[in-house]
Amino acid sequence: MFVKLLCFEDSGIARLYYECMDAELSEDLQARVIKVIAKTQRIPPETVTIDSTFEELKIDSLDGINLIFALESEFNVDIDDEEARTIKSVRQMAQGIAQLLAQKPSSQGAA
Amino acid sequence: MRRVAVTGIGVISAVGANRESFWRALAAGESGIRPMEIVAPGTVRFPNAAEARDYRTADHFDEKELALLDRFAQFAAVAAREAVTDAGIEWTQELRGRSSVVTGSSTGGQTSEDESFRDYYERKQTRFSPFAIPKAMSNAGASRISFEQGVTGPVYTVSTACSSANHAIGQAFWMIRNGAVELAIAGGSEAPFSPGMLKAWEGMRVVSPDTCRPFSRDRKGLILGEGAGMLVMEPLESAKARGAHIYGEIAGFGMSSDAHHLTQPLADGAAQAIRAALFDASAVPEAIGYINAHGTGTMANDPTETEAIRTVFGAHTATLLVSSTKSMHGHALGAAGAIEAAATLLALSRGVIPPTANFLGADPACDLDVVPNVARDVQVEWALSNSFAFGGLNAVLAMRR
Repeated sequence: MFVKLLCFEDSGIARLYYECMDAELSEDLQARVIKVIAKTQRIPPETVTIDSTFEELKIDSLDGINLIFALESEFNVDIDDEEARTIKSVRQMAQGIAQLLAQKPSSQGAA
Repeated sequence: MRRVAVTGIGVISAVGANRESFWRALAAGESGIRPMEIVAPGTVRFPNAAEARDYRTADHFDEKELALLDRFAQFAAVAAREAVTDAGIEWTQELRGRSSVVTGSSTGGQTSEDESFRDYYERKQTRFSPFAIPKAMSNAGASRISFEQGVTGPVYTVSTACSSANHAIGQAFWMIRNGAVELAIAGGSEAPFSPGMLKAWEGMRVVSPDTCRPFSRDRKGLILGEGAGMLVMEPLESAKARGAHIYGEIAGFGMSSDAHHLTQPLADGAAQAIRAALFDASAVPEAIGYINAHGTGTMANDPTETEAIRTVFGAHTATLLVSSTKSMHGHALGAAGAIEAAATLLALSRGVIPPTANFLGADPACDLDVVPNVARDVQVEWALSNSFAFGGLNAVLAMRR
């Protein structure tokens, strides 16, 4: 039900909705995003939280696009170049992934 | 120290496969950026590129030769032929031994390499052609030029990503200036349009989904280009003595390294290279009238380059004309500096400053006179051409009329 609500063409509406619904990011998704970040950055997973910023994790611009590459592979989604540029925190990243998964008709709930 | 004149120019680019058509397009502000044709549509997310469409392989090589010649080496040889003919060089055995070829290339014969690797991995062919190695090596262009022209002096290739050609021209310039050689053919060539290479660029997320708009608001990245630029250089005195046409002089060369990051540029590093070029040319900043910018159109380069220019030129920045011709011929990587040196020398010699095309409006972080969209009839005496590479390697050429 939650996923269906997000199937708007206008991603701005979806994003607004998500900003109100941060708590609703599934724990499974959060855990997977954090695991990929820890693995890609070669840092202990316990140092990464949903509230970490890229700056705190010492993720620079090249690391950032490398991370996006790893997450695209993990979740089998394509992240737009412009969107990619605006992502500066773990939460934004997880929200973006959730949004893309929601837009994928064949993959509700699964990667 | 000897002064160094440029007496021959050869160009292959998206805006023309020879010097004069290249210059006509630049002076008219015409961009060569179009939908990609070399690889199948949909291979990568970005649809446009600056391909050398007017270049016809069959006009220059027979089929037997092509088995050993990657597109990047063809570009090098053909641009060198044009430059040597333009300069009116009459070869003697002595001159051949006192001449040099220095080329720049970032990726060398990777189109051929990509193809041979596909034969192995995808088509499961178990045998490789014996040509695969010599066709793909980065010095294949320099070597081909040396065979064709009979040059037996120092011949080598410099590979410093997007600064390759400026490093190559700078090295050749210094060899002539200090008397190590009497003539040099120097420049760069690149042919980066293989499916594998394009996918790699897609992964970097720096290629624009539409066009290249350097220093402009709403710029979205660079546009990949291909081609070559080659210069014939010789001591000014010899050029005058034989009555050669002189486009201008290479007057200084400056290099620096950011010592900072593989992809993030640093204004201090760029400024250091600009200062080094001015120092090498014994020129004061106020002498410079035009800068052919590195100006890739990426979010990172353009404000950093602006900051570097402002740092070096201070109040004089207000009177500087700065344009990025990459808006027309794309970013030809290891050939970029050579194509842009050709543009800069033609601007000095013909009194026209080529514009920054595709410009939509000012970005406050890039507050320079970027000669938006329309060329300007201005005769400047001195110019710079900037190249700043991934890996933080900067190379700047100073030129004078």
